[in-house]
Amino acid sequence: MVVGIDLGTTNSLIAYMAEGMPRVIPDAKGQGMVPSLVAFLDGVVLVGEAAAQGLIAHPDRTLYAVKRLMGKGVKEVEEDRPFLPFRLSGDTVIRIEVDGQSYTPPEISAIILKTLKTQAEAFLHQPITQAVITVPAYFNDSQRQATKDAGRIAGLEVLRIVNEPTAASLAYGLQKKAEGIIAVYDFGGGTFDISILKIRNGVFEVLSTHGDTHLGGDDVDRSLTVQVLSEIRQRFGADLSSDHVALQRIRLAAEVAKRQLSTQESTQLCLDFPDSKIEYRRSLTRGEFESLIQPLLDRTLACCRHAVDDAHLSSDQIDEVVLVGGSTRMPIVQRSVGAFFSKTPHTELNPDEVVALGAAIQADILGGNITDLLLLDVTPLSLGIETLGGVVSRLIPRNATIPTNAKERFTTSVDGQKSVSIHVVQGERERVADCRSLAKFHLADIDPMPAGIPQIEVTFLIDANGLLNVTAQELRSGKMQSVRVKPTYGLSDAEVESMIAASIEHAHADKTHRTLIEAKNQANAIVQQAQKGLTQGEMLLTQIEKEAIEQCLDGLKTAMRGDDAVAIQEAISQVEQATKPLAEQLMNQTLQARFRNKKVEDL
Amino acid sequence: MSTQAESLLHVAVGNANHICWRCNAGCNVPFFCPHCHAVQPLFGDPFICLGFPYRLNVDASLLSARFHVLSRKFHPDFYQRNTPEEQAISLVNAARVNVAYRTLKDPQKRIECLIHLVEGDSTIPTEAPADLFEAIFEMEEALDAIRTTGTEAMAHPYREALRKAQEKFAARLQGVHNTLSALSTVWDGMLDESTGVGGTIWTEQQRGVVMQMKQALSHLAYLERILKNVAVALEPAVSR
Repeated sequence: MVVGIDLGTTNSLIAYMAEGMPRVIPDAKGQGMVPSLVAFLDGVVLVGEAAAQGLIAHPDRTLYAVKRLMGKGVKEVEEDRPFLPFRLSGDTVIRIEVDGQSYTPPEISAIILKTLKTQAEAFLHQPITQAVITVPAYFNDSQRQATKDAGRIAGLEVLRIVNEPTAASLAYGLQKKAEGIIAVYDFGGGTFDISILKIRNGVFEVLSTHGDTHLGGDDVDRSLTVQVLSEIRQRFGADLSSDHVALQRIRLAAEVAKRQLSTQESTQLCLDFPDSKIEYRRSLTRGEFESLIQPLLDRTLACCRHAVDDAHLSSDQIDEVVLVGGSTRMPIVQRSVGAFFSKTPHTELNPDEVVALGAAIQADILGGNITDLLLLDVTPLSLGIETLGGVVSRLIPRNATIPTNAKERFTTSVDGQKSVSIHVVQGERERVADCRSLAKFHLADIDPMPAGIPQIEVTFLIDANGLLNVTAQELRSGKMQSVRVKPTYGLSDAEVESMIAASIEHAHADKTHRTLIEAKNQANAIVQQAQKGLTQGEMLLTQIEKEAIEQCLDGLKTAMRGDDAVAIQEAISQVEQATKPLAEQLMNQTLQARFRNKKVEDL
Repeated sequence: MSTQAESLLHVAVGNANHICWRCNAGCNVPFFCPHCHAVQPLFGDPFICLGFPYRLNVDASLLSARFHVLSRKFHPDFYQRNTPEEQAISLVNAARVNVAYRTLKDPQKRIECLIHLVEGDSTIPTEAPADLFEAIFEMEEALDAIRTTGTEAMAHPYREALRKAQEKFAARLQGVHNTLSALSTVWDGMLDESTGVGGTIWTEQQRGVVMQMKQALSHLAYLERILKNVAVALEPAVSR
């Protein structure tokens, strides 16, 4: 069974296919939506509704909207920082600091995914190991990769990363048997996407997509929060903007007011801060609220304009408009979108569930149960490489149907040059500095030749997940060239692997436990390495040396069976000490062998 | 010969008659081995991939339909439970189909693709049309003047000149588009007269038409670039 997961900024859902129809899987209490909250309280990790208690009581240990941090560097979230009550550190990968521990956003997302996984396993009475996870269509490569990493850390094989609006279109199309051109306007908790699709004979072809990965209900709440903060400053002369508890309370009150104004014409904001002797009261009409958030609405409509233009259509050529995401419950959204497309948008689907339902359908397609539906999605951003003078040479345009590829030839500029470095960026601007750096790819081990002679053909392939893969081939020899990837933002494969190991014990969130797991992993690696060394270097060792190493190894193996991280660490360093001379000898041997090979070649 | 029949012939020419990578059997049909059913790597230029003759006027609905048919054959979604080799082939095939579709969908990319096939080189130079040299000179002067002039009032006459130049260039651009579409029709006519589906040996006449298209494209690239520059230069006047 492959499940579909909507990993949202504010809420997450898991769904599956039951007799040809997608269904959301509820938790034990019958709830389908899991708030995307993780709280570290009293040595326990709380997830979802249970974590909500921590929002005000322990804002620094209750993590929300972590999706906004996925695949980003610390500098990129500068404007969010004043509003996030938890501590961030790190550089190209954000680390969230809680109680002296640091967690990357994929690790936090993995905790939410694991909760959903457990929920599904309990409901379906079977182990769940494979999933389709949705992301905003406008997510770049690093954000997609971070989501995939989160799945892996949670013990899920992520069969596909699907774009949220496209997933929604699948659910909509299946239910309504729709044909023609549809626009999916997806205004969620943290992100906005617009996708234009053509549906014909079960093929869902995305014509264009546009969006803003930093525009959602969170920003609506923030607009109101900022307004309240400034009114408190005016009325009471108090600045609450650096008081995290106060800030969190205002944010939550703003969210409640927003929800109420979707069904009623006015609401009351009542916030008391006894410590600062502040009793803030205010009535808020829907009109006032709407003019406050109008700039956000305008931004979504500007994206719609881009998407329609990129699809080479005019807005009246759109047959149907579908609203997705909780933020589309606001009447102003329905009005504005209706006016933009001159059409009453569809609101009959549950905007909270439709993405998860679509993910379940895509999961069933991948599971081989549905063969008549096919989603043809696009890459949201152009892909290019850096050329002389910091100018981008575009290889794959935005809105290209994926999978897609582009080939480019590279050569060397210096005699005997052994490696070539390629800087890949995503974005629409002409200068590298204005685009987003994706990764540096190093073509290594090029056979030494005069400058300009090697002909290395590099293939840039964007797969069906929207993720970039790079391969290289030397054309004269036909030899595949190794490509070393250094992602600009994001985790290396090794880091993800160690997180997978570490996450097994994450449920305890207990530092000693985690250190122990890390020590055991390290010990495992050392044992394997030492044993390999013993076989390879048997000829180089005296009986005494050999026995000494074996004795240390036995000591380590014994320590590994126990639960004392310090003892394991000590045993590790003993093995390292004992094997050091052997390692050096082995190294020399390898070097000599290489030297000999060289000579043979030269002759 | 109907377009449909031609296309099938074309796909067959490009993708049948090869040896299956898995079972080594000879395949006389495209896409899948008739013996072991393994998916086969897709070959050929964008026209061959999508089963279209080397014609520049393309039936958009047929193109879209063919794209969907081939996507259904090769999309990685349908190979999730196949061997890694087949998954890799489906991925590359699907990418090929998508790139081919993107090329044939756009009239300009279609011509560029044809030039590449006939000439073996796809680089289109950016060249100013000779008949515009004088107008270009005047425009450059106006652009320079606007850049160096301090006040809006002093820049005004140059802006007017620039607007006039803009109209002239836009009209010329339309002319280039018309030339390209006329040349496309000429090309298609020659194709019908000779082999019908086209081949890899081109006549002198056909090469001549391709050269003309190449020149028109180089003018197009130039005109688009200067129109963009002029639009940027004129833009601040609107916002001020």
